[in-house]
Amino acid sequence: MWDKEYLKMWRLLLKNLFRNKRRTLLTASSVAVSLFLLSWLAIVYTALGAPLQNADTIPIMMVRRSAGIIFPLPMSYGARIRTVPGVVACASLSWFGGYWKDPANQFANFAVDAENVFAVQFASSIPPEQKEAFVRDRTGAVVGRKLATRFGWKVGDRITLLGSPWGFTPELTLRGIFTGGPEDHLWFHWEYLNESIGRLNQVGLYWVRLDKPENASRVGQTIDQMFRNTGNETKTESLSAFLLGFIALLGNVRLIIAIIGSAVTFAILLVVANTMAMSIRERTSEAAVMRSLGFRAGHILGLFVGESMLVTLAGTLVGVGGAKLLSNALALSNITQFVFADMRMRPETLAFCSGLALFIALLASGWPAYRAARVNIAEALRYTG
Amino acid sequence: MAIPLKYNLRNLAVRRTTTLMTAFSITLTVTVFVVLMALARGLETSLSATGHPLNLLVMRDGSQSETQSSVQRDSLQVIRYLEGIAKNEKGEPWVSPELIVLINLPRRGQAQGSNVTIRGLTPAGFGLRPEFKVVEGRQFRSGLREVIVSKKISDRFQNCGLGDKVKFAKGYWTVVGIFEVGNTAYASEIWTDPEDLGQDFDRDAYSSVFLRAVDSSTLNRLKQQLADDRRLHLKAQTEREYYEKQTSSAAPIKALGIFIAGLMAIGASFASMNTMYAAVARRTKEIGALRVLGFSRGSILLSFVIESVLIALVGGAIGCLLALPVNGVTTGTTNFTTFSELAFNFRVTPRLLLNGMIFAVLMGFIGGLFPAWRAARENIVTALRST
Repeated sequence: MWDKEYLKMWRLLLKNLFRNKRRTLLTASSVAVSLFLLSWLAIVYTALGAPLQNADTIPIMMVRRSAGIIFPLPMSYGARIRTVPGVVACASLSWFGGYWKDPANQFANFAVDAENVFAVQFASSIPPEQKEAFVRDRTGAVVGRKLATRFGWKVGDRITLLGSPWGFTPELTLRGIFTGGPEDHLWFHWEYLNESIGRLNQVGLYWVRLDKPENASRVGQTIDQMFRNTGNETKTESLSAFLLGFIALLGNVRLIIAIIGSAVTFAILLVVANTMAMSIRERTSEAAVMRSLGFRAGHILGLFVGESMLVTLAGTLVGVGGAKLLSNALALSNITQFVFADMRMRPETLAFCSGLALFIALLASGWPAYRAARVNIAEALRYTG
Repeated sequence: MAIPLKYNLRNLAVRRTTTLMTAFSITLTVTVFVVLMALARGLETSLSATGHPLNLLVMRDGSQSETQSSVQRDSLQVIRYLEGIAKNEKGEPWVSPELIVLINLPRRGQAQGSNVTIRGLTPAGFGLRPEFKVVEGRQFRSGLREVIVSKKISDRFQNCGLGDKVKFAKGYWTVVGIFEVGNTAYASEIWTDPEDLGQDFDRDAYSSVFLRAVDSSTLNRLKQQLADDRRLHLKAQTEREYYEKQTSSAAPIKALGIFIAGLMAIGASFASMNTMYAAVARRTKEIGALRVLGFSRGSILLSFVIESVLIALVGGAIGCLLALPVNGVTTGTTNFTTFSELAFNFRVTPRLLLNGMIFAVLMGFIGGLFPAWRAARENIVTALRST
């Protein structure tokens, strides 16, 4: 009995939804566009807060000067870091900042400790003969798969890096292409850099590979303790802490995103509320007729709120779904990198955006629907709009 | 003949809830647009407003920023005696050798730090920045590890208030003064004595040299002279050119602002379309009556478009008002050319407000056009018969 009634109400609801097709479509599209935007804001917001997926399971740490990432460390530290229990491998890396052919071709290029870099970056795999060729050739270089694809590089190509602040122009030979790990990097020999700039024997950072990720805090403290009260105190931190430090340089981006996000949310609320107010007002006398036919106030309320929910739901599916598809496509094409390395729509983002949308729908229709349901029947029947 | 504006105004007043809700969705769009553009504008201004037109900045050839540059002390002697340099009040060439280092300082209320520029310079250098003034405390003295901190950095970073001791390089430095340098990039720096600074950072060479040319023709001659001297490996550019190049860092903010506001505008136009379609449907009979009275299809079309634009104007005006208080609010980001903190103020300019209003009108126009078109096509007889 109840089921049958329920079904009838459903049909009534759908009929109402399609009564003014254009309005339903416009409202749903407006919600869709806004939720698409809101989803992207949420994606960027979460990515900036936690830049790496499963950050706790990555057994890699970074050692930098505590005074700041811009200051160099002595290259002699590498040997001492390797003696710390729990450290499996350690390789230096110095930001080089060159570009290829055109200043628009900016990418991540580093002078690294060629012998140890693959021991630290265990996720990067390279054919053994290519790795050997790279280690043997002082002017050799290796690049990640993404970067090789981007510039169409093949093993054996000559690559000249221009415009580096080091004031030195390395002429490199591509010896290998690695997959996995930081696939948008180019690495060449630190010795080549060091000789060319007058043997300062300095490096930018150290990458440290741990035996177990659980040892991170102990190893970090040991390393920092080791260099305390030297002229070059260190700061050892996890990869994700390092990235968060970088993100902090951008300033209060997350606050700005949150403020814009609330404005967008409020705008969606207004759009849905406006539509519902209009459509409920137009049906005031109709609701009264239904009431006099025996429909209860709860029915009327349910009809209007349900209508609002359905319109919003349709918009949400398109908007959030579109954002999800686009973020998947971007992740597949590998164009996001560095601080934006993990720009996906996480399940919690998806749930948050959809939940917010339905809450808005409830909020937007609640008051006018309540009024329509509680209205005095006689008065409403006289209402002419 | 046009339908009187009063007709539209009274209609809007009758449907005030709908009018306000529609206007408000336009308001939000305009506010977000103006605020983001004010952010970009503020960043641009702090860079493009930096520099006296006759000041030249000399750096090592090939360096992108002062941080990467170095100028040897003997090169300074060559520069000092170039022809065409203005004389200061003591009759000496108006040349200021400066030393730049970056230090990492924690922002107030945040554990994560940011890089702040420390500039070592002599009194000749203060004179080259006409907006410079010490607003609290006093000038630093050399040999005593004293610094003066710009107002914006002092407000935004820990241990940078007057009387505080800030730690960098080999120890603590005392903040003896707070200074202001207008809306320029220097307003995000800490200044101290170049010799003290060089000693602490083991730096013998300077980073850059600033000088004042006599006039604009000698300016170019000076540039040429420096470029031609092969021994020096130096390059001169005007201070303005140097900072102007960095304004490109505002481009991503602008692009983002347009993207976000654009998407919000689509949503808002749909909302105003909905409102206007409802208005047309409710007033079908009126439209018929107006036509009978002799108003043309064109004036009906115009009248409804105007009504929609009026809603948008109300929304836009409120939007601009809401965005106004953000004017002057200080924020900061990292300038990736110099890799150091650049603090700047949001700038809501009249031009920006005008753009916001134009943007609002555009939304109203698009939202009103289709419904108005439909109203204008209404057949008189059926319209009059409609309920």
